[in-house]
Order: sequence, then structure tokens, then C-alpha cells
Amino acid sequence: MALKSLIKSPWILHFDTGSCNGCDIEIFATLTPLYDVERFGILNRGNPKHADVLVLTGPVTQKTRSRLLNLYEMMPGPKLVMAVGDCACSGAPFVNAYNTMGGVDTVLPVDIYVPGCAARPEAVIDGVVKALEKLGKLAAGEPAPPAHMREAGDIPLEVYDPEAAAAKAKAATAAAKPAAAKGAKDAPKEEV
Amino acid sequence: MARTTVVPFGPQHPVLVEPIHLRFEVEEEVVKGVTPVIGYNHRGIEKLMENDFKKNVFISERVCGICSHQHSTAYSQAVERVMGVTPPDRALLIRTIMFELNRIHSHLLIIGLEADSIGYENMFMQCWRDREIVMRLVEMVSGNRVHYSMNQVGGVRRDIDDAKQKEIEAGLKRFEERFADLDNIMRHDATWTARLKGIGVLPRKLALDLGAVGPVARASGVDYDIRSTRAHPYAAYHMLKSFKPVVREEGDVWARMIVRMDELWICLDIIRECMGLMKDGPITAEVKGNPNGQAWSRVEASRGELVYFVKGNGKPVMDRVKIRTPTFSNIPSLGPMLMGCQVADIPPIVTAIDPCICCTDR
Amino acid sequence: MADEATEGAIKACRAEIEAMHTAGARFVVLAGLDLIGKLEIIYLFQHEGQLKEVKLQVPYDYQFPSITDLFPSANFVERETVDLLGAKIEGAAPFLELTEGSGIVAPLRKNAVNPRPSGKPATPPAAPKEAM
Repeated sequence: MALKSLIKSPWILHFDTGSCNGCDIEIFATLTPLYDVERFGILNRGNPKHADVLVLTGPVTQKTRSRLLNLYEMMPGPKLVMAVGDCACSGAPFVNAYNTMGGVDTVLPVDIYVPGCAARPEAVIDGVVKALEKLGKLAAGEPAPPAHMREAGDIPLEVYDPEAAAAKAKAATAAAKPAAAKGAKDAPKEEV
Repeated sequence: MARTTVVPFGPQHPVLVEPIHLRFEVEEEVVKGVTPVIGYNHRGIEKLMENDFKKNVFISERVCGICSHQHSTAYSQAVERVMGVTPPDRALLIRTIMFELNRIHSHLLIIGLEADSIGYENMFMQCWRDREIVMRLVEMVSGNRVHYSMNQVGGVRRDIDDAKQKEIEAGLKRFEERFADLDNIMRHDATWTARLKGIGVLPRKLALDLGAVGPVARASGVDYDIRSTRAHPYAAYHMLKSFKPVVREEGDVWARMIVRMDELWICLDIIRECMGLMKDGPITAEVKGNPNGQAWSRVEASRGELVYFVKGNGKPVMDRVKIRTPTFSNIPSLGPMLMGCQVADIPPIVTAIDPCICCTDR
Repeated sequence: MADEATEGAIKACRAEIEAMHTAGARFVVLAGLDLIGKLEIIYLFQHEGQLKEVKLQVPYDYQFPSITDLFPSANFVERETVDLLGAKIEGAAPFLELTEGSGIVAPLRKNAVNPRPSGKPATPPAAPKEAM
């Protein structure tokens, strides 16, 4: 019964773990006229004890990491974690930075990923709808996709080397030509 | 006998979008001391910018999502100065149009957030609905609502043709009615003026000593705006009619918001003038070789003076990029502004300096 | 350990900055650069519409004075230089941007090692409960 009320009116807690604020402003824009998720019962209250969905942006920086864990533990269950924006999903372009963890899923298990730089309000609404579907499945006792967490070391640390990148791109183009002639399905991907 | 309570403000709070920690010492609802703690948003961008000088344009945009085009303009200008490249006139005019559109959306954003911080939610919703006009315009021109990616070293990447200019003109006409309404509220509305006049005062001497820039300084009587000083021409401002910076003497929160409102009117004039001056031509100049040397570049971002320093060693990878953002200079001014104020006045005062903590910490 | 040449350079730089202060210039920013083995600090002032630089080169870990007595607006940027470049400026407290105990020291130096943050929290957070 309690979960049913959650689905009709999930309250969010928004926290910026070090992003450029593009996604945060788009989350605020989702609450304002034109996109207006308040008509779905979604309210942005600053209190972790009142929140159902933790909406996060930003690659987690060192200082915000402990605050983030605090907030997550303060929120009563059932709760969902939503990572909005490319930084929160995977840490890009700050994945090689010295002060960032590289995405929210290195610190917390994430339920919904909303990509984009910045994530459009329509994508944020889509993410919220998927979150509500997941809550619905949990309420009905059905299996739901599990939350995902990964090791920070999953992404190798790279230093950009322009000569090596150019040589690699050239080798990839040279390798693609005979492969295309053979009609092979797996063509090596080029550096963008 | 009064005892001191320590009230922590942030890094997670519903009023401010960004993580900053302010530690207040409060005695019976009056603030006696404040310590700002920053560094929550530090991503190490200056180290990331030791990277290919053409790719750095896109990193510099992502320092801040609200003033992103202003950062990439400052960076592109600095590298163009080092390499001796002059972008064509049409590119400079397009840069300026996007710059001023960026300023419109940023000022509307902060006016809305200021209204939200005093509980005036209707005005917050109205301002952000008006912001959607400019978000539609920039999306039409560049393809994205945030991070327009219009700049490259040597010029711009996309053109604003005649059809798009007509759309921008239609958007500006809609803004005129909306700004007239907003101007009336900000000058005469009883809630707005009663709540915001007289709080957060920053005297002129402190504004100069502590290095305040932008509307915070201009509201305290310091008449400095890089767009109107002819000594440092940037983008297309040297082609436009000169204008006097908007300066007020009161130095309180209300004055800061009125400075931003007056600047919104000036933005409309600048965009119209730029569109009138556009002639056919290329939108980018050719860039050969690698940057070798150092240069400073300053622009007047929405929040104040933004300074970039770049140094190249003849390789495609930049040696050093130093960014000094306007909020970095404005945070120390929070100390005197918040002394002696009521606890309930803290959100409007902090929001009025237009804090962009992602810019501060980089 | 005092170094004659560096002390002379610091005194000359200080004299120029005092001249700026007397002339009523405005301090804009200081940029710290890592020339391997020594740091270069470029102070930028604005006077009568023109930008003026004052440069100072000090070896690594050499203490030099702060300019906040003349220009209080330099406080934050000096603290940032202490954090990110490991400069030793008298009176500038560290940990403005970096976190104490994170193991990151002077990251903007050329020879700085990028310590990949470990990521794993000390105790894994509890999984979301399915029913209240």
C-alpha cells in the first residue's frame, strides 16, 4: 500500500556531486512550466527523510563523496538512485581527473541512468517514468532490474598523446579497407 | 546571555543548486561570523586542459553549464591571440550574439532563483518559463540547450543564416513584453522591494578591496564592465555603439538584481545591432601550426570578469591554462555582506551574488 | 635556507607590487606555472585600462611572502596556488580546493602522479529494501 502512494507521488532529493550545473539546471527546468513534472506529483524537497528518489549529477568529487554516502544512508527505504547526465553515468569528460571518482556508480548502486550533456528535460522525465516502473515492479513483487555498481578502477587512466592517437587512427583506416573489401561484419572502430 | 550556535549551510540545500558549505556562527537569529568552505566542485580542469588545444574548447565549455559559451569564447580568444589568428567579422558577430543570449538566460535564471529564495514561487516559475524562449532559440542555432559548442579556435562552427535571424528577432520581440513586466515587478512590487532592500549591503571600499567583479561590484558603485572599456576589445564589441556600464550606488541585494534587469535590456539592443551588422563571409579562419607563447584574455561573463591565461610550447598539447572565474572573486565579499544579517536573509543574500560554485572550484 | 638570487628577485617583485599599490592599480589574478625545478608566478594588475604583469621565479618549496597585506583580494588565489602547485606562501592556508587526507599533492606539477581515487567506500551502503 505504501509503495502505491510512492508511485503516485515520488518526492526527489537533488544533490550535485560536482557537476558543471548544466544537468542541474535542466532538472530545475523540468520542475518549471513547459515541462512541469509537478503535475505528476513530483516535488523537490530538500529533506532526505522525505525523499524517495535521489537524483544525482556530477562525477563524484572527493569532498562530496562522504556527503553523498551520508545522504544515501539518511534516506529511508525503499529508495531509488537516479544518475542524470554523462558525468554521473560514467564520469566523462572528467573520468581522468585527479579529484573525481568517475561517476556515481563507483560510490552508490544506481538504478536509472539518464545520459546527455546536458540531459534534456524530456530525458529526465523519461528516466523518472522508468524509475516509477521499477518501483511498480518492486511493489508487485516482480523481479526488477538490479541496481548497478562498478569499481572505480574499471576505467583505465589515460593520458592523451596526439601522435599516438593519430597513428592509431591511421592504422585503423588502413585495416578497415581490406576488411570492407572482404565484407566482414566487424570493422575496427575509428577514434572520433 | 547570548550563546553562539553553529549553523551549517550546505553542501546539500534546496535553495542553492551547487555544493558550497557556509559555516555560520549565529547568536539569537543574527549572524556573527561566516566561513566559506569551497572545493566540493573541484574537478581539476586546469590539469585536464593540458591536452590538445583544439579539444580544450570543449573542456572549457564544461567548466560551467550556465556560462559555458562565455568560457569557450575566452579560451578561443586567448589561443587566437597566442597564434596571431583573427577570426572573420561574421564569426565575431555570431560569437557575440550567442554570448548575449547566454547572458539573457543566465540573468533570468538568477532572478528566478532569487524569487524562489524569498518564497515568491510564482515569479520563479514565470522567469524560468521566459527562459525557455531563449533555450529554444539557442537550440535552433546550435542543436543543444546547454553547451552550445559554437566556438572553435579561429571562429565559430555553425552559421546563423537569415531564417534563424528572423526567429531570433521574433524571440526578442516576445522578450520585450516579458521584460517590461519583470522590470515593473522588480522596481515596484511590494514583496520584492520590502524583502530585498537594505539587506546584504557591500560598501564601495570593500567591493574594491575584496576584488568583487560583475553586477556585485557595479551595484556598489564600481563602474567597471569589460564590454564597455575600449582598451580591451573582444569579440564584436568594438564594432558596436559604446554603452555605459549599469551602475547603482545602494550596494544591497535589490540593487544587484536591478543591475541585472537593466543589463537584460542592453542584451536585446546588442543582439539586434549584431544582426544588423552581419554581412556574408566565412565563419572561421584557418589555423595552422601549434600555439607557442602565452596570452591573457578577459571577457565580461554574466557574473563578472572572466580571465583566461594560456601558455603553449609549440606542441599541440597546451602547457598551462589558468582560469579565474568571477565567482572566485566574489565569494570573499560574502563575509561582510552576511555579517549582522538575520538567518532568514541568508538565502537571498547568497543567491544575489549569483554564486556559480562550479566556476569557483573548477 | 636563503638563496641570494631568489631573495633579490623576491625583493624586486615586492617593490614593483608596492609601486602598483601606490599607483592605485587593481589586482586581477595570479597565475602559477611549473617550469620544472622552479615555479613562476605571474601577477596581473590593471592600471588605467592597461594590463601589467609582474613575474617572480622561485625554486620549488621556497617560501615567499604573500601580497594580501596590500591586496586583500589575493587571498583565495594564493591559497589555491599553495594547494595545486605546492607553492609555499606565508600565511596562505592549504586545502581550499583539495581534501585533506586524499593523497593528492600539488597536482598541477608536471611530475605529479595522478592517484586514481580508490572508489570503494569503507562499508558498502545497504541495498535498497524492497518493502517498507
